[in-house]
Amino acid sequence: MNHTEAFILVVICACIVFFERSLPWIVFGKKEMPKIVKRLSDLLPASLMVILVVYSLRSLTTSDFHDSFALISASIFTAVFHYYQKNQILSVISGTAVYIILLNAF
Amino acid sequence: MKIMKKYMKVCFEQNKKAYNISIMKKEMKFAFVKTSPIMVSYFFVSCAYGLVMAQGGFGWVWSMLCSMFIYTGAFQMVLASFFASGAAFVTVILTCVFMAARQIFYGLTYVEDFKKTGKKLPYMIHTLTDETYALLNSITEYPKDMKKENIQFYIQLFSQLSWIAGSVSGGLAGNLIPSSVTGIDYALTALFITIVVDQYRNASNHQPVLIGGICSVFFLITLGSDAFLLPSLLVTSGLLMLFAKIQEGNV
Repeated sequence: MNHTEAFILVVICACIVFFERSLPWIVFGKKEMPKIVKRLSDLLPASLMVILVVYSLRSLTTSDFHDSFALISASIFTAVFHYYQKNQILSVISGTAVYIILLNAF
Repeated sequence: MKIMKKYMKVCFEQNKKAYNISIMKKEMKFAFVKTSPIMVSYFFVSCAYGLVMAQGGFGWVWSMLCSMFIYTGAFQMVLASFFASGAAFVTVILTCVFMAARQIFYGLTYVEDFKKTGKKLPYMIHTLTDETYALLNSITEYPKDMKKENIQFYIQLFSQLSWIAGSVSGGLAGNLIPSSVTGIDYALTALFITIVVDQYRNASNHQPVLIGGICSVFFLITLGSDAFLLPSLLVTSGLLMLFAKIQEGNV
């Protein structure tokens, strides 16, 4: 992909992302938000993050044993490690290190 | 460029006029403390992003521009791999539409809050990301003498600045890491996992997490990795509203 094409894509994607982010204000900005949508907006955060994790791990369904093993192991490690030691930065760095090692060293 | 500078000036002028500098400093400090974990994570993850971009042949200027104007962690990472592999226009655009679709849901929680920032609203909208969304959700109490909307603005600002800084650093350092070393982009996944673990630990009601998890895994298995995101989001939202209505009916 040459740089001109990439630049055009960046501009288009920037517009798409901003538009999608603005949608709640476009739809609900002037009007009163229905109570049920308000309730949804309170509950969504937790669900969304889980869906996002599943999304990040989606390659598990298509990748081979070696890659899947690295991904699952690193993720379980990150989750357990973070559950007990609570420092986010440490968890992110260690989890990534585990993944890179498992992916590249074997 | 000029328009941007003018807009930035408007945002800060609005602040100064409304009330005095000492409160502004307090708000910035509060925001800084709250945002610091994200700032470090973001710096690290965006470094990873900068490196992946550089490995694909797109240097720090590209990373900086994407981080300024697109500013989504997950999709920026995907875009980096698209750049490296030379994907088709339509693929990139469709992926963008679907990956960014979840951003539609984030705004819902903050429609009222962000409106209070006045002219800064477009910037607040622009900088609502997965992590800033999670961070804003986690702050349950704001100090009485400070304005919530200003603190939120500083949170957004500091987060993006650290993301941009990391991308540039990663882009600059790109020559130092051999392109055979893969897996750096896992940093973002690790970040999301830590957020979910924290959320799970702190929440009394685990229903949303379970509903989201079961839906997304189900659709991942049945629809495949390319098509499952949007149905998961829609069905999860539907189920959440359904359960909310049922529970309201019982109370």
